[in-house]
Amino acid sequence: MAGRILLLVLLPAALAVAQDDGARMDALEKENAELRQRVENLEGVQQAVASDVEDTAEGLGLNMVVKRGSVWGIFQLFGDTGVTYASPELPNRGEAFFFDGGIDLFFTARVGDHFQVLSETVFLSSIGTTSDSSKFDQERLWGAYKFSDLLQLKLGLEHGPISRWNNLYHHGKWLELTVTRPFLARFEGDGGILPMHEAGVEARGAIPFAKGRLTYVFFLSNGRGPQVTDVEEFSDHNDAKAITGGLGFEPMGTHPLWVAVFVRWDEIPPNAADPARLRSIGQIVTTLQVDYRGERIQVLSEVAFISGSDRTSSTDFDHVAAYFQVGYSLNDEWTPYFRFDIRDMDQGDPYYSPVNRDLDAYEIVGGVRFDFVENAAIKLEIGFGEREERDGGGVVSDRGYIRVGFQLSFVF
Amino acid sequence: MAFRTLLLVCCTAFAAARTEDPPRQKEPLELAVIVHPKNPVTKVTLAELRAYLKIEREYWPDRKRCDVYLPQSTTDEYDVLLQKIYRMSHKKLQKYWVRRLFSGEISAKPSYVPSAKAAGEQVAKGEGAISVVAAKDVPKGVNVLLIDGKKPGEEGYPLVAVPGKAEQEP
Repeated sequence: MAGRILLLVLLPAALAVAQDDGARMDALEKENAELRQRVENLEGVQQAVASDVEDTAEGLGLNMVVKRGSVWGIFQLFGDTGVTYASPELPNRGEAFFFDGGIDLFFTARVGDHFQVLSETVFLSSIGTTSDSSKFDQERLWGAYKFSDLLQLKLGLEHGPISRWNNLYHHGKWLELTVTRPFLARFEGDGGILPMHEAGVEARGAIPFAKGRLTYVFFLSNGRGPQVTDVEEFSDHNDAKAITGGLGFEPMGTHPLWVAVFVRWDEIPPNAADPARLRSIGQIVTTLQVDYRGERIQVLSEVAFISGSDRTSSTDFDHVAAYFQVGYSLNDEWTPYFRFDIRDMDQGDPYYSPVNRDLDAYEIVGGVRFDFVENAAIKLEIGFGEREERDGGGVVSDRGYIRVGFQLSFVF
Repeated sequence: MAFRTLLLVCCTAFAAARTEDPPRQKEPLELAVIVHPKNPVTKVTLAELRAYLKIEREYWPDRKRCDVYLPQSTTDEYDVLLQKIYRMSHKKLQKYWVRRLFSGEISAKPSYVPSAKAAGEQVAKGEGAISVVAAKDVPKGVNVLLIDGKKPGEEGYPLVAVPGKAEQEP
């Protein structure tokens, strides 16, 4: 009897405990399921991040490539530094000095299959009259839609196609075989005679056929400013736009060869500050370009014919600039090179003469490039030649010169 | 006794050195070019293949972007590609991609895949993808392109070479 009473007392207690355990088990299972879900979510995120970042082992430098969804982004950095010797020396400078060539930040992204943006920003060092300085410069910034290989439309700031050198290397010194650029490819602020930077809209494409590939470029841009150093990146001094058209041919073959002809028309606006420039100048530039890259030999050569029609004095001026450059790769590391560079200008052109760019010059350059690691190179070159110089009285005379340049350039 | 022992040791070492195998020449390696089964292109010429793999042509005829997946640079497959398609060393090819990307001619560099299986996965995933694998390792679920009208294994198929030659060239 006592046992039955005890059982009667204990049974409800046991049932209560069992019921309590069951509820706790349910709660634990629910909690467990939630935790499992959170872990799975975290693993998913981790996998997504891992697959978004490309393997960096196969690129040069940091090779920062990121892929996220339909966006591919690539970031690259170029830079250079070195030492130079020149005789006779630059005004207010010694014969030899070290220099910092600047840093170039490059970024491009592709969104989906057809749209691309590209930006090149440079921290430039420049030698001033009394002191040197660095400046921030947006060199390229464009967006492009590529419908197919036949047609790409591009809008923005770009390096003009009138020079092959300009389109190949931009501000990436590591890509250039040599320490210096040839006369016709120098920038507007660095003694150049052709427009290197252009803002506008461009159509380009390539038409393949049995014997090779025909490429075309059509570029409508702001054109040049009143002075030869002006770059009309953000506005235009006149309503007339510059038009550049070009055709290139790449024959089918083992090694790439590019042959092209470009023509550019521009109406250069008057310069109110200069009495000799009261009216505009019509300028036509024609360039012939040859670029060959064999297993060992690489050749790059351009000729530019510049024809200016000054409407103030009703006078025509004709200028020619050309270079021929050849490099020979002994192996992956050593490449000796040679360049002949010339600028034959009509004196007195009111567009070029205020900054003495209407004067002749020639230079012979010899050097060697040593790619001591994959993403850095040192270059040593000697250049000598002769250039016309104008003194304070306007008298022009020839002067020989020699220069030596040593450059360390890199990409990351 | 010591002299004899020394002589014996020297002779043994010399004999061992003499019997070391000379470096063996590798067997020719044949490559297959694989694309997505929905890709309308089934055959290309070697020149067209070069244009696609060098990203001189970025689009297939159906306007899908051609995404290139290359074998890793330490593999025999990559070495044969350098010889038959790119005709330049690995270092020069790296510089070539940087130059073309920087000039804006191309919007992305090729991606690299660690194995034929991974190449197959990428090609099966992207309708515009193209990759190259050893002909003996062609994964399932992809199409193999005819090159100059020939498929791997046929006489005159152009993508065959002895690996290791590319590094000897400049």
